[in-house]
Amino acid sequence: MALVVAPVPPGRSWPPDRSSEAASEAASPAPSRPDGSAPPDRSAPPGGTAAPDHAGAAPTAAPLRSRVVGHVLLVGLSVVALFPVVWMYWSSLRPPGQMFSFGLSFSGANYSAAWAAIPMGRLFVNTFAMAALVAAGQLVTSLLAAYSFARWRFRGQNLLFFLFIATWLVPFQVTMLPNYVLLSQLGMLNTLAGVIVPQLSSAFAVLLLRQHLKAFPTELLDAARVDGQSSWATLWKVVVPSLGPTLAALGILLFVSAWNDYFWPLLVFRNTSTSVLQLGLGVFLSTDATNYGALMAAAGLACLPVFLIYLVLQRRVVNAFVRSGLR
Amino acid sequence: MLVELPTAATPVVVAHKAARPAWPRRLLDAATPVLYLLPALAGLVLWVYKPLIQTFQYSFYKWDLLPTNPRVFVGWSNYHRVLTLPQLWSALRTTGIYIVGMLVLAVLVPLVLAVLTQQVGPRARSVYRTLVFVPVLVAPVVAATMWSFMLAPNGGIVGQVLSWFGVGQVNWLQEPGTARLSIVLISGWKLVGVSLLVVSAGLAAISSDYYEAAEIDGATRWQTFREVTVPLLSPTLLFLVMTSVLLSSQIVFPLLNSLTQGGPAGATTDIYYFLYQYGFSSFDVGLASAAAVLFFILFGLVALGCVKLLDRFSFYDN
Repeated sequence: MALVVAPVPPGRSWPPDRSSEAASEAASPAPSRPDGSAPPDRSAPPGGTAAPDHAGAAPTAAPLRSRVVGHVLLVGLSVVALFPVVWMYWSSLRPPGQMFSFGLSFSGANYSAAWAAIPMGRLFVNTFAMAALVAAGQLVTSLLAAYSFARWRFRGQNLLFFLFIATWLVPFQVTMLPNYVLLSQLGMLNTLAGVIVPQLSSAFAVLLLRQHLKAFPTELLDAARVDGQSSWATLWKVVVPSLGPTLAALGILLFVSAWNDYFWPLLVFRNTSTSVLQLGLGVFLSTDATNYGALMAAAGLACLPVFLIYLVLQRRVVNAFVRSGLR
Repeated sequence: MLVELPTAATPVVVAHKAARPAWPRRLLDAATPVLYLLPALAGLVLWVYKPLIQTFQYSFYKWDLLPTNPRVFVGWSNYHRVLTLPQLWSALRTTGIYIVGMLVLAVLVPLVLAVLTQQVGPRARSVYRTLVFVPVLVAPVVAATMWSFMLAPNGGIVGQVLSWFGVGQVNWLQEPGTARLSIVLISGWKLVGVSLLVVSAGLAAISSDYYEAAEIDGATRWQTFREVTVPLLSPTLLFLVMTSVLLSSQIVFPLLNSLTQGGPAGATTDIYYFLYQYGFSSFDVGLASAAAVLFFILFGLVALGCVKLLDRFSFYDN
């Protein structure tokens, strides 16, 4: 997101898991508080629980002053965080000749220029298909794996689990040459499949789901077993329905990071006109670096879907990110 | 601690002992957990661990990535070549600069901000959370694009604002020093908000009992921060430090590739961009693989150190 956020290379997996463990350890002395393994849709903001405690402890002038300081700092940070985004959209709507002047005249010319410069429609469809298939594939494979880790104990399980944790030690760039060779042997270079297939399993998603399944009540699994239900039926009829909000939040997260991913498309595609948005934009930026109007329009379009998702589901997205520690 | 087993599971073998089903059934039962694991595991083995081993292999060969050309075994000479390349040391130095920059912008600044904004009420806090989170959603290439416009010489908004304070024109991305600074600032912009949220979540999990005890003992704010907040927050902080050190190169990679191409004159090239260039621009597979192996080992040791520290600090507040 990682961090970035960034895309989720295999490297993002272990720290998130660890972070929520650390959070739950730190929370343990206050039994009334939900621990770190609570689902990411917990509606109370993480900061919300402690602040009133302090305010109640010493409701004098000092907290008021520090509250004001806090607001000033957070307003400042919010402006820093948002300004580049606002400036990008604002400038994209300015007439192409007046990119560097302040004014209130607007035009859609930059958008038509962007549309002419890179095959936006094609790239949009490709990126959407890629991100949706990657997210769906990662959800399914990680659900099955997390279920296996949570339900059974078997020899070698620790070793296998370590294989999932340890992927974050292997950066993309270390494995990229052999992966490129394999992709070319499979005939997947310059295809969407070349971006999708290598990403179908996500160690990060496995660890996050396993964390949630650890908190799953054993009685429900036992009851299903006594009823003679197969493990497969139990998974879909008992486990999945109760994981609904978690799976939704994780799915959004995986979709957003696949949408923003840059590494795999860069490795797979030489012909960027049939690739994905991030790559198309990257090439546009490095070849036509001063065509600012069209660049702002293209960049604004490239992250519009992510912002729309965020507008609708912001609380869920933030909670999923922060809880997982993904950056 | 890392590989702690779930306590919720019951061995499936026990459940079926009474019935004693036929052997195919028993075999299937024993294989079931592995079958569930297989799809995810296959992906990891095929796209992470097998290529990792292959990278070790490639590092002993001379090859130009063309399938028709032969791979020639050259022993340790790739390692010798890479370690004597001045570009490697310059890339390492640049990586160090990025890491220090990330430690400041993604650990230190968020820590200070989190402590100073602790008193903000929950409702306002959730509004700020929504806003400061936005940069992490912005794709790295989009961030590179918007910042290239803001940093543009002769008219970019950053230059215009600085000129109000009497600062002259700066060619941000064309001068080695400011180009590195720009890369650090853009990555920091992406990470500072979400890091603040992580630290704030860690702070919120610290019981207020400790603060009340410190207050009764007459501790000053600085003493409370040093003796209560930092130790109890150390797992969160170490996690942030570790991700900043290990992932900073991955975070800057898209910025380098789309914004500076490692320039000017290699000034912004860090170790992973160095790898990428030797692999895909020079097609020197052996050299790139040898460097990859070295970085893999180096960062593995750093990670090991961080894990050791995490284990030492995690006894706090248990």
